[in-house]
Amino acid sequence: MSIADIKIGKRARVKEFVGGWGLMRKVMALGIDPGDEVRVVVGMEGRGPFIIENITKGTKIAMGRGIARKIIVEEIE
Amino acid sequence: MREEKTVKIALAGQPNCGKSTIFNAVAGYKAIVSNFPGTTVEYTKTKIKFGDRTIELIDLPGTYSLSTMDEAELSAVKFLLEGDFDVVINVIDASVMSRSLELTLELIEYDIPMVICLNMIDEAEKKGIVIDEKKLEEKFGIPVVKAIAIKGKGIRELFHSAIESAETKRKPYSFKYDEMVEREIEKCMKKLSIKDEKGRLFAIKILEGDGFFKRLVKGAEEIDDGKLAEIIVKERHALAMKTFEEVARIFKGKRSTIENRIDAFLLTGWRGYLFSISFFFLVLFLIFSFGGWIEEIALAPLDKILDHLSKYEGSFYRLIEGLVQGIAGGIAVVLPYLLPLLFILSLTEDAGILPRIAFAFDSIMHRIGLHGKSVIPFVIGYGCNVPAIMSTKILETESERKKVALLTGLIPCSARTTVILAMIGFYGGFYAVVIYYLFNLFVIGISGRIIAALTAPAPGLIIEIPPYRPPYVNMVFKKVWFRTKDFIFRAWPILIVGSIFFSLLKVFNIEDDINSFLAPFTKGILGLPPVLGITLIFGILRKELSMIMLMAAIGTTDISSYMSMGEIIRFTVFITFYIPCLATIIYIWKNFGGRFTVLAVIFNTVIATLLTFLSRFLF
Repeated sequence: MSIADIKIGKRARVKEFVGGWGLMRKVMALGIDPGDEVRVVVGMEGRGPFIIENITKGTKIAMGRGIARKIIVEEIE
Repeated sequence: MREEKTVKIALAGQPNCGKSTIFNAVAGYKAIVSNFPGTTVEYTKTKIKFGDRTIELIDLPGTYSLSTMDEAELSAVKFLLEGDFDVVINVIDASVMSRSLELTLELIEYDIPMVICLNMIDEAEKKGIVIDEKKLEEKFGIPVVKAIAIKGKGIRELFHSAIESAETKRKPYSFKYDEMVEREIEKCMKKLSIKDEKGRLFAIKILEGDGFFKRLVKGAEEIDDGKLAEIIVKERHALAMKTFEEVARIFKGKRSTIENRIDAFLLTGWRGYLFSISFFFLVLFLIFSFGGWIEEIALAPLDKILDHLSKYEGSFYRLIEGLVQGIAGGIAVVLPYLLPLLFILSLTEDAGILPRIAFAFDSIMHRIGLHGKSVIPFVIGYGCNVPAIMSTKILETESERKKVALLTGLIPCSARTTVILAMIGFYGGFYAVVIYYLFNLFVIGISGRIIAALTAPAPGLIIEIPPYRPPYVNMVFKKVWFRTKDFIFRAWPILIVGSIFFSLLKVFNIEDDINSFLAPFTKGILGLPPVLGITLIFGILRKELSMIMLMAAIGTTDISSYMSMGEIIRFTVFITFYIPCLATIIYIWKNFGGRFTVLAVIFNTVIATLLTFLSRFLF
């Protein structure tokens, strides 16, 4: 599953990126790394961008749906 | 007596790290000479007095890395390579230090005198991050200064430290990659025979696959970089994380879940639009109510002078009239609209509101090939196009800035609103005005779609959402003054000269010649009475001037007695869409250069002509 699939408020752990190298660098530069714990703060099912909180780093990032789909995560129980 | 030398200090850091706060904290204060962002340099410079020293302070654009992937990064890299500075202050937002250190490591590779500023140390502590700055100093071999820039804490120590490092040329320790990478770096340096002090940097960047560096060195294209790029970046990333773990301890701080709840409430779905539109409405309301009031007070004495001058004959008085008109033009823009706007912008830009609005508007802006952030210049454009052009700086790429600048020219600013109200409103009624504004939005939408089809799409949105931060009022005044100076010293003089030039037309009495010269256009294409030719030219100076000139040209204030409703509509359409006013043109030129300005003028004029021509068949 990707960031676009997490239910609002549920926590998840970043596993990997599936996008191109350029995008991956950008995501890394904004401080999202494999192993980080994240949660979706704002977002709607099916359309529109997301705001995610990186709980590990204490940052918040807004991203379009296309980018969110390329960040693979696993849900934390 | 010691010889006084200017110390050149550059501020480098990631977006939202408080770099500009440091710049403004010292720049607004005792500034002696100032340069402004122009077309060749994309960074802000200022000269300040610090004790008995003169400091030239350069504010580089905020970048997450130095990979030359976007224009902000490229301009920072070019600056660092040109080397016209004595020391770089690397500003770090201590509350997000783990990801900030990557840029620090990239700066270290430039092998330049450096000082690290750990800014927002209070916010870091709130988050439970405690940083041992001595350990960081030992690790990198350069001074580390803790600061809370917004409260002015640590700024003095920071600049003392920077000046000292500039004098002693204290550079950071170079760090090593793993053996395999180091071997490749050495091989690359040998192969391309780059052995000077920047040799290592060039080798690393070439192996990273950086297009800009590759173009600088002959033969760099042949070096195989396919595999190493990822390894180098990931290693640097890992080293940054490791360094963070070594110098910082994290206690469980109090995390604000309230902020997340506020964001979820304000920004989900349609509520995002509601939140943004309310904010815009509030801003516009403040600007218009304050602006209208001030404009009346400020322009009254000048209008009296103009009225008085018009009674006298002779070329001298016409020139004086032009001068006063130019001064009035500046006052009509700067005092009523620019000042309150800059004030509100300065107050809110660090408050975390604008990135959230950008998020809310992202979906809709993508339809015209832009992303959320560009909604801000558009809204500002309704007040005045000049600050709207200024605010395109918040966009990351040059191509986005240009697209937005083009479309902003189509937005009726307050001056054009006056014309719309006096023409369409007065002779057509309230609903005609509403329809007219919807028509205007429609034209902007269509033009946006066309531009989007012709250019590369905006990249997907990915921006940081900073925490809500309360504004610090004393900083706001400094910022407003710093930006107002830009208008007063750069744009206003040109406006005055332009105004005097137009009054020369009157002096030599070539109005009639111009009217008959323009007649094929005014009469033939636009379907307007030829006497209006000159008013369209005056409209370039100040859009509302064209209406005053119109009344003068037809010799009555009752426009409908001279012009048909169709002519009134066509006149308004043309005035709304054609060439932006002189002040706006000056700003487009200063920001984007001459060629783009010509393009913008043509773009506006073609749209205006086309729409006016088409409306002949409707009315």
